[in-house]
Amino acid sequence: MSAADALSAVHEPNAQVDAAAGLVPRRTIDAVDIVKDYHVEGGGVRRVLDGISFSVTMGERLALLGRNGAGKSTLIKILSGMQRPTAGHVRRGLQMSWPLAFSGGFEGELTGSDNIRFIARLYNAPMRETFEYVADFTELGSQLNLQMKYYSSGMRMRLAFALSLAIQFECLLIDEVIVVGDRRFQQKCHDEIFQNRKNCAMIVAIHSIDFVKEYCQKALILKDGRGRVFDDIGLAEAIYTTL
Amino acid sequence: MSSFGAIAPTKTGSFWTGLKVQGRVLYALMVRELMMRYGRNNIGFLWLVLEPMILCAGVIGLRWLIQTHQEHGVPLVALILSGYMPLTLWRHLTNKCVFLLRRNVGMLFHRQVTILDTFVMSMCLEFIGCTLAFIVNYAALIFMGAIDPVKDYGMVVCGWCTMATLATGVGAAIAVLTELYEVSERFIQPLQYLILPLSGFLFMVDWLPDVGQRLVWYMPIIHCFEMIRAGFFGDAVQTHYTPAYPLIFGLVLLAIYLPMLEKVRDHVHYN
Repeated sequence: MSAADALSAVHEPNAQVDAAAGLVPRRTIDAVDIVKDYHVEGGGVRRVLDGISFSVTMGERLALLGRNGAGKSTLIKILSGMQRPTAGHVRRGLQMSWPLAFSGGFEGELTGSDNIRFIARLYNAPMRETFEYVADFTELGSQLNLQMKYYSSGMRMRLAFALSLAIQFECLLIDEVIVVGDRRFQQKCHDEIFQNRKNCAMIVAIHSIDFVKEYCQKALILKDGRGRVFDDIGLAEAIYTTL
Repeated sequence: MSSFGAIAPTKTGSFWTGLKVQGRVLYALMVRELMMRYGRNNIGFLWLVLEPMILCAGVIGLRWLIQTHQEHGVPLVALILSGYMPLTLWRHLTNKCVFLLRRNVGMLFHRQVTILDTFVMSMCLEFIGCTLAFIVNYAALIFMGAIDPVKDYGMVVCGWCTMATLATGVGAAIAVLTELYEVSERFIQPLQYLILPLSGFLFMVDWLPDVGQRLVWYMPIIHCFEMIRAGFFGDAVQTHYTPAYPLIFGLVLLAIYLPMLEKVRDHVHYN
C-alpha cells in the first residue's frame, strides 16, 4: 500500500461509499459569502472581496486565479485564519494548513529545531519523528541549531515548507509558491505534494495556467472583488487570459 | 517518504480533551516565548531572578556601611524585598501587555491558538517567573541571615495573588487600549513612573498622616503591598488594607477588557 493510499485509508475509510449512499456528508472547506473591507488612508473603505463562496472537499484542487491585487492573498489569509472577514464565514470541516512556504510566524530568535519542536507540540505530532522528517526533508543538518535570523531566505523557505508538510493537514493552502530550493529539492517538494498528498484538498493561488490545467479540477477567478467557480478548466483559461 | 502527525480532532470532544489541548497549546506557546525572550546565549531566563538580587545586595551593602538597623520599626532589607518583588511583578505583568496583540498575532494562523491564549500565556509566564524570582531571592536572603523568616505565609500568598489579579486586569486594559489607540502607548511609561512613589513600595501606610492614609486608600495597589507586608512582619507593624478592593478592581477590569480582546483583533494588521 503506498503512502497515499494509507493516507486516504486513515482519513476516509468508506467516505466514497457512504457519500454515494447519502449516509455521511463529505467533509469540506466552505467559504460562504466572504466579504472583506479594508480601511483606506484618508477615510473610506476598499472592498477587496465581495461575496466569495466556494466549497472544496478531499481530493479536490481549487485554483485561485486573478490579476495582481485581485484579492487572492487576502482570501488565503482569511481561509487560514490570519484575518477575519468583514462578513460571511469559513466553515472548516478539514484540517487546514497555513500558507505552505509562509515563514512569517517563525521567530528569528529561535533556532530551527526550536521551531520544529514548537510546531510538533502545538499539533500534538510525535516529536522525534517530526524532527527526523524535517531534518531529512530540508537537509539542513547542523544548521537546524542555528538561530533562524541567520538563515538565508532559501533555508527559511525550505524549513517552512518542510514544517507545513510534516503535519498531516487535510487541506493545503498554497500562496503562489509551489516549489522552493534547487532542482533536487523542487523534485522532492513536487513528489511530496502531488504524490504523497494526492488525496488532500488543495487551495492554490497561482498565476501559471499550465499548472492549473494539469493539476486542478476547479478554478475560482477573482476580479474586482467578485468571484466565480469554474468546473471547466478550459473555459476558465479562456476567461483568465482576457482578464 | 511519508509524513505523519496527529492533529487534534475536529469533532467536539469531551471537556477534558479540550482542556488537555488547551494545556498543550499554552505549554507550547510558553516555551516558545521563553526561548524568544531570553535566548540561549547568556544565562537567559536567570536574569529575571538575578536582577532583584543585585538590588538587594546593594541595599545590604549600604546598610552595612551606614550601620542603621531599623527604619520606623521595620528592618530595611525586609522592607526593600517586600516592596521591590511585588513591584517587579506589577511591572512585568503590565509592561508585557503594551502592544501584546500585534506582537502575537502571527501565531493566530495556527487553528488551536486564540487571541485569549496569547494573553493568558504571557501573563502566566511572567507570573511564574516573578514568583520564582521572589522565592529564590527570599531563600538567598534567609540563608545569608539578612532578613527574618516571614511571619504569615498565607498573607504573603494572598497579597501576591491579589497583586497578580490587579496587574492582569490593568494589563488587559492596556492590551486593548494600546491596540485601539496607538497614542495611549506614550502614556503608559509616564503613568508607571507616577505610580511608583504612590504605590507604597517604599513606605507603609501607617507612616503617613491621617489625611494621607485616607487618600491613599483609593489606590488599589497600596492594599496589595500592605497585605504582603502584614505577612512579612506580622504584629510588629500596623497595616491597613481591604483585600476586596484590589480584587474587585482587577476582576472588573478583566470582565470588561477580556471580551474586547477578540473585537480588537480586527484592528491588528498582519502581513
